[in-house]
Amino acid sequence: MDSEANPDLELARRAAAGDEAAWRAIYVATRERLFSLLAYQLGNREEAMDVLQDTYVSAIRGIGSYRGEGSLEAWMAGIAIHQAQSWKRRFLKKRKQTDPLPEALDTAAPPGGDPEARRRLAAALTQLSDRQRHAVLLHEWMGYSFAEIGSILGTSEATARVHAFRGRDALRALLGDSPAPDAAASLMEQRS
Amino acid sequence: MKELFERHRDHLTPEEDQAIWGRVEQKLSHRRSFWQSWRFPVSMAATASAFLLVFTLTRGSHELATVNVRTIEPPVSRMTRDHSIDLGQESPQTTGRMDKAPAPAGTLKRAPNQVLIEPSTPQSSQTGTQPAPSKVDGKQSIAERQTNQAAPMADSFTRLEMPPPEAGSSVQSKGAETNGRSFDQAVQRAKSKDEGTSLETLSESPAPSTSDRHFMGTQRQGKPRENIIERLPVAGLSRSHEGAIQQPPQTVVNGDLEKRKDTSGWPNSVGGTTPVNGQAFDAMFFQHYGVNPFIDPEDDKFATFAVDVDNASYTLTRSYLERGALPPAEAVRVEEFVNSMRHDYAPPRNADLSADREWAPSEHGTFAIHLEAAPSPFGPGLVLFRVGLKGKEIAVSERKPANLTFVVDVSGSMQRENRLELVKRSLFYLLDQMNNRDRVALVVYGTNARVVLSPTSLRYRRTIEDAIVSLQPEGSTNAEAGLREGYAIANESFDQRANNRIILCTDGVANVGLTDADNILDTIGRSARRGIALTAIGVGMGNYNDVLIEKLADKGDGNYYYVDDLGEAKKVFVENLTGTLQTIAKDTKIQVEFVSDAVRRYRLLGYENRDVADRDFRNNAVDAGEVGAGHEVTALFEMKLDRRATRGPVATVRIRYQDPETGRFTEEARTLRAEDILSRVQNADPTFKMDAAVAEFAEILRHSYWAKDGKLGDARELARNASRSMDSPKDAEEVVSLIGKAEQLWSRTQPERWQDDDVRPQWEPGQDNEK
Repeated sequence: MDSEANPDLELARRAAAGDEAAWRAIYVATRERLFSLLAYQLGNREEAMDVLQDTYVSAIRGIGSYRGEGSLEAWMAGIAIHQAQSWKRRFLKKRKQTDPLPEALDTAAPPGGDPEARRRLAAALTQLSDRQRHAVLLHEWMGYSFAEIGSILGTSEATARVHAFRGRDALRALLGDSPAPDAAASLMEQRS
Repeated sequence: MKELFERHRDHLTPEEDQAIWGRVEQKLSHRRSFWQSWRFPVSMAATASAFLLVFTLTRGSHELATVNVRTIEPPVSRMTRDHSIDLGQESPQTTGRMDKAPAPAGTLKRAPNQVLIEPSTPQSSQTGTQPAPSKVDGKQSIAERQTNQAAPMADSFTRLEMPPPEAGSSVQSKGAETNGRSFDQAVQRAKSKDEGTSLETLSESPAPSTSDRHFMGTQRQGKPRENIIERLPVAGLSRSHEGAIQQPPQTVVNGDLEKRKDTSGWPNSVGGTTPVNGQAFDAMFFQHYGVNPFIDPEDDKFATFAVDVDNASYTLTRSYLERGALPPAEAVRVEEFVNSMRHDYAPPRNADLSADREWAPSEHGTFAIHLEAAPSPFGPGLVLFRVGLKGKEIAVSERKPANLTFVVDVSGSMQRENRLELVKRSLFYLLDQMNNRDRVALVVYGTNARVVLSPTSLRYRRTIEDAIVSLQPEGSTNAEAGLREGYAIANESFDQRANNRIILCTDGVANVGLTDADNILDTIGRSARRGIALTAIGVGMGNYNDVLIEKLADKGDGNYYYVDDLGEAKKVFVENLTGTLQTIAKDTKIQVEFVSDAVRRYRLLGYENRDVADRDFRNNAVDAGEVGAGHEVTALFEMKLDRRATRGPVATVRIRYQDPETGRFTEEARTLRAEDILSRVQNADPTFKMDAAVAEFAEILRHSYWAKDGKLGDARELARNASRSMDSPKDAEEVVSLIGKAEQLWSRTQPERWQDDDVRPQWEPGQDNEK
């Protein structure tokens, strides 16, 4: 992406200068998708909220390092993934030290759709390896290119592609789905 | 697949959305205040002038100039952030480090994190102080410390020409540890004066305790000589002198204290280390002020109290817990626990004034009032309501000159646990932050009081340092005489344009003359009205008089800190110095008016000894609390709301204070509305959760009736949860670990919980008293 033509860069510059309106714009544009990304990633709404907060706080601190490569949302998603990972580390450490956390997977959320299918999706996501889950979520849900995913996850484009595809296949297997027609179409699209 | 995700995705509810945005906004305003505050321009200026100086210094050789400008600039700009300059690390030509500690002629000390260098400093005079470089590292280091003390900035630069040191002897300076260096230098001076020994002899002999580790912690006799020599270049720069006191010192080792060789470590008091509230801490004086009850607003709709920015109770409790004992219930003041947390409230902005203020918004914006309320995590059916005040911040450069009188307790009891040493070092921290406009006098009291140093400008810093270092424990404690002498000096040298303040450093044990506060309170009160404030620094564990010190500070328009280690001293004297020195609001009172239709019951957590009669809120003669620049004040209420109260005002917070400059009284107000109350405590600010946890911690520790079923574990979990979403969770993590310690002690000792049957309240939180 041409960084000069990237409107996000302009927004980020204003945000870095402490322009609250710019931050509001960034926030409004990104919160919903980042939140669902985190909720999928963590499997827990409450934690997703906490981590989303941390993500913005951390973005405020680091906005100066956004250079306009890729969209601002992708940059934020990178932070979100990173924050989620460090949350998970703390969670695991804590669980080792003390009794297991009372909160089971996802308690409160009242989203649309079939709750049973939703529960299965959440459970299936927890079965994936971290990298596969990241790649699947970033690709399938956020719709980022593999180049973007690679730079978010700190891998090469090819590795990101491999993780995303393997993750998706694993997810399908776990959900017992046959490849949906739209998935096949998107497969074609990516190969092109 | 995308559809699948789309179908099952989570959405933010509007209130969650708002909670997150609120946090983002808070963070933003906090950052904005950084850019707008003095720090940014001043640190830029510091960098620029450092540049200039380097350039001037090296202009003799243009090649050198280019090299140095490049290599030296980064450390200088780093210094503005973390207080350290380390030329040795950056440039191979340099041997040493820049000493931030002493304020030399030609160097303007401004703040913990900036050093402004006056470009006009005559270079020749500084280089004139430079000794011929010595070949022996150890000796050289000491000699340098002797002579360079007066001009450390120049020192580092002029040393650029010196040959590089042996690899092992170059030591990194870390931050404010340079304090230790200037302190050691002063000690060294005192020693060489007293003993008449030459520097060389000192460095050869194992005697001088120049290293921090030696100074506070370790036994120096019997150490192999080579160790000493090896450490000498390190003098004053050893890893951490906070650690030095936090660790139980094995032995008191210091020239001044040498007579006393005690190997028991602390608690160093009668009874040795017998645990818990018994004989270990033999004579601690605290007073229990009771616990506020729940009140029905129909009986009394006002809660009126004086602000309190002290945090001594928390530090004291920490000190107890770290020694493996639960604090006595009466030593625990909830409001001081809450106040010792960092809240990062946004400071007042003039632009803010139009919003939400119903009552005479003050045009200069002395306070920002922050209200937040959410269901109480510990009281079933109750709402926790937080009133947060943030005083305006004053740039360090705008601080008025300080005219300080140190009144130091040098009685025998100050010999325990190195108390006097802690005081000396704390005062050195303070000196580090002062500049040539400031003045200092020193009064000590033991059996009698005497003036050690009449008011002296910081220009003569060395004289001041020597005076402080010379202090030795002596005789009994005549606090009255000391304070009288101190106030006499302060009154004599009173300066209308300065911050006049007594800094009382004591363990509060008085046994000659006045032994309780009342006799001298008049003098103090009179001087306070004239504008001489009092800061009481409490030290010591074992015999310590909390009641006396707190009373003194309250009466003296002052504040009260308990300093248990150098880290705490740094907080008071380095990080918050402007707040400690400069009062922005006097006699500050808070009155909260509860709307009786909306609130069934309310209870103020803590502030029991700060109670002000409702009718005295506007009585200007009633003494109340002082707030320093940038200080935060937090008060917590528990409320039981009427079920029907879903909209409209719930409580109005008014603050009233006197402007110390104009003497004018001002009120500011803000209203909490029912729709502002968060539906879940999870949505609240992490500092709010932290406050709730800390308040519950304090309530349990002080055996409050209202926490009779409370569990420390719950408080700890909440604190941990809150600390996770904090930017700088260090303090929060400390709380978590303190609660953990208390938990262990609690389960071991099973202290009696609430016992006074006669104060059992009429009303229980679980009870629904809809009318």
